Amino acid sequence: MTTLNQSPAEATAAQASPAAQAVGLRKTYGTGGAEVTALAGVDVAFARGHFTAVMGPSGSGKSTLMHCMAGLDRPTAGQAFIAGLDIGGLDDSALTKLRRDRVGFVFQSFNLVPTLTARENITLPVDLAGKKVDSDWFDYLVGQLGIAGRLSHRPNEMSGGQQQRVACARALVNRPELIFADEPTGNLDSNASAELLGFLRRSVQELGQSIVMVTHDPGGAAFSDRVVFLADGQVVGELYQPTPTSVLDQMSRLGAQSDPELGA
Amino acid sequence: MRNVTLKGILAHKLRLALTCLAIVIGVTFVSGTYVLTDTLHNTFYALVGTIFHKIDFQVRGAAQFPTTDAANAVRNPVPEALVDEIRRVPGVEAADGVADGYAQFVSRTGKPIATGAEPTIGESFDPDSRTSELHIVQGRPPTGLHDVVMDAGTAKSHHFSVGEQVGVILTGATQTFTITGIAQFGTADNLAGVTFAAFTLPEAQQAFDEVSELDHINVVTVPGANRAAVQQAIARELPHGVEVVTGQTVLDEQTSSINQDLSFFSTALLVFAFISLFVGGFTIFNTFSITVGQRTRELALLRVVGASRRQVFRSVLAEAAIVGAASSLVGTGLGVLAAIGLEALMSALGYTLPAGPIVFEPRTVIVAFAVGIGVTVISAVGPARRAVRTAPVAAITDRQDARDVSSRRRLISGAAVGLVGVVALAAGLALPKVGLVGLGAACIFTGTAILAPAVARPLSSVIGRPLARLGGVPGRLGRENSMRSPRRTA
Ligand SMILES: Nc1ncnc2c1ncn2[C@@H]1O[C@H](COP(=O)(O)OP(=O)(O)O)[C@@H](O)[C@H]1O
Ligand SMILES: [Mg+2]
Repeated sequence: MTTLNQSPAEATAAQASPAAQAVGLRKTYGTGGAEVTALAGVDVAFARGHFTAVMGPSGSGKSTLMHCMAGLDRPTAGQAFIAGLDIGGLDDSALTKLRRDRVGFVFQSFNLVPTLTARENITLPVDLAGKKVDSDWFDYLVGQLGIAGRLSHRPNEMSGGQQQRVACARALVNRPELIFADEPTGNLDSNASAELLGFLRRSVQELGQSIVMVTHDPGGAAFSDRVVFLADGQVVGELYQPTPTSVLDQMSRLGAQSDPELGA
Repeated sequence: MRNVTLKGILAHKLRLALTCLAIVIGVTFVSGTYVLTDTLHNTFYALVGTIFHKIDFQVRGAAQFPTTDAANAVRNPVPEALVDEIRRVPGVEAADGVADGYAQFVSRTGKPIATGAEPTIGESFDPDSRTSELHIVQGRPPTGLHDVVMDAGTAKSHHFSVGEQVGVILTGATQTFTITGIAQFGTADNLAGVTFAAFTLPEAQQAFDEVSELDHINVVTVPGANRAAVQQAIARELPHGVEVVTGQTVLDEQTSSINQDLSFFSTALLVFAFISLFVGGFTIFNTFSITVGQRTRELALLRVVGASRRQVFRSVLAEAAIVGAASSLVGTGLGVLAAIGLEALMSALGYTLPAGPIVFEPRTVIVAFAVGIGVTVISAVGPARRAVRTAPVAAITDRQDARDVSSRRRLISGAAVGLVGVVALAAGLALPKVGLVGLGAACIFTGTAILAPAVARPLSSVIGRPLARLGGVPGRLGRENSMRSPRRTA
């Protein structure tokens, strides 16, 4: 399933290791007086076959954490692992292959190449790898996502919900170890959100897919198995088997805690 | 990735058209220049060939000074008495003397007739068809004093016919002659605009040389003769300062003389070609910079989902290559049309040429495409490199990562390269040397490209204004884009 060559020992280690893990991950932007600490030493592991939600106030470092863990950006210090592989040691072309073959992405917006049709967007990672599309898998995905009738459309001819579902199909087409989704429902109405989240949930349950999703919405977080809370670049709490109410509870408790510290 | 490239090109048709236009113009000049000069060369060669093909040897005075243009060398006259001696040489079939010089017809309105800077030639009419290049198509050869044979080109364009009187300027005042005949060179009405007046030998000798002197003697050998032996035998009869050369030598000298004229002509055209390609290259550089700027997010998105740097780089260059190839194809075709048009124009101006086919050498296509695609692709390398350096995160965050060659270093190196270019261009135009002109244009282009980011903001607002009006949204986008991040515009 993976394209990077692994020895049997490594493969066993990968099997045992979490889908993704951060160890002492730090990221600072700028230097001197203008220095911003986006991640202040994050230790977190995302389990295989689990749907993990990441929540936290705006600017708490959620996106930065995702970028550093997915090989889109390099951390200032600390380590990030994908299936036991330390991605800090990879050069640009190895990171590119990692993103292409082993990780899927869904962002809040601008997920699709505007000049390509839905079909071409979905198969892009496969085409870039110079491989043949697994048509059974492709058909299964577009069927599940309800976009079979939209495949010849360009992104600007589709609704926001359809675009995000195309992005999901694209993220899944190479059967990645892990999907990173950064506020995938941030621009969607509640119906479209529920559809997308339902699909993500099913792909975890039925296909054993591992997913990490950043969200602002307690209702969305309730689709996950576990919620990790971030504040000021640090993990400040977590919650298993969340419900909208328990997520809200936790959020208000964390908010009450951090408010006096911020001195706002 | 091929898909991404093609669709990226087709998504911006107007911008594409404008980019292509610049290259099309440049390639049109290159292709047109080659087709025209090849065609002219071929035509002249055929023409000179028909004039001299009959002659096996020519006896003439040796050049008085060493020269690179033997066809126009200053030569001493040859004594007329030599003609009879040469006729007696075994293996010689015919030998006829010619006296030639300057003679210019005067039009009915009293103006000297000339086409451009082409010579106006006067010559003794050689009635011997074995040695003569001229043949009468109407009337008869000159037989007496003040008889003249006129070239068909002049007769046609100035409406002279047999039996009429015509003024001819010889060395002194205008004299009046009677047109006894109209003549052609082979199948041509005249020799590419050269006018031609033929007189009786005594009259020509009196006008151009001295009595009993000739400019050269044309010799034809009997069929099957050993030419080398005949040439040696003739040489033995010749006094000091007189030489015998083969007809082929005369032909080669004439051809190389014509080529020297043509090469100046083609140099001028190629200079235009390089200037327009220089402008074209600059336009393309800008267009691709803006395109890549606009597509930073798109290209970064490709990087996110697994396109390697090389794939993105190749995609941008492939786009350039396709645009360059399409433009080169159009430009090459237009060049042929331009050459045909120019030839028609020359003929309308009196440079009547024998009907010759348009010469379209493989070299023309190869150079036109190499230049068209080369300029486009090289112009796109900078923007492509910038595209590749785009961090994948740029797709999601709209933050620019500021990476920079220091502006001072930019200014100094850009100015230096540009200056070298100006000097090379000036020298190339003055000499003239096409290679230097090309080098100069390339250096100016490169220098400007290096300098551009420093001056992009004021410039792009000026350029962008009409562009925004013209190009609607894409133009506006391009302008805002280049204002926001000056390094994106060239
Ligand atoms: N490229 C960058 N340059 C400078 N600061 C940045 C950059 N990216 C993020 N930041 C800063 O890092 C912090 C965390 O940002 P981010 O990870 O986007 O937070 P979140 O996704 O939780 O809203 C913020 O203070 C943000 O301003
Ligand atoms: Mg964010």
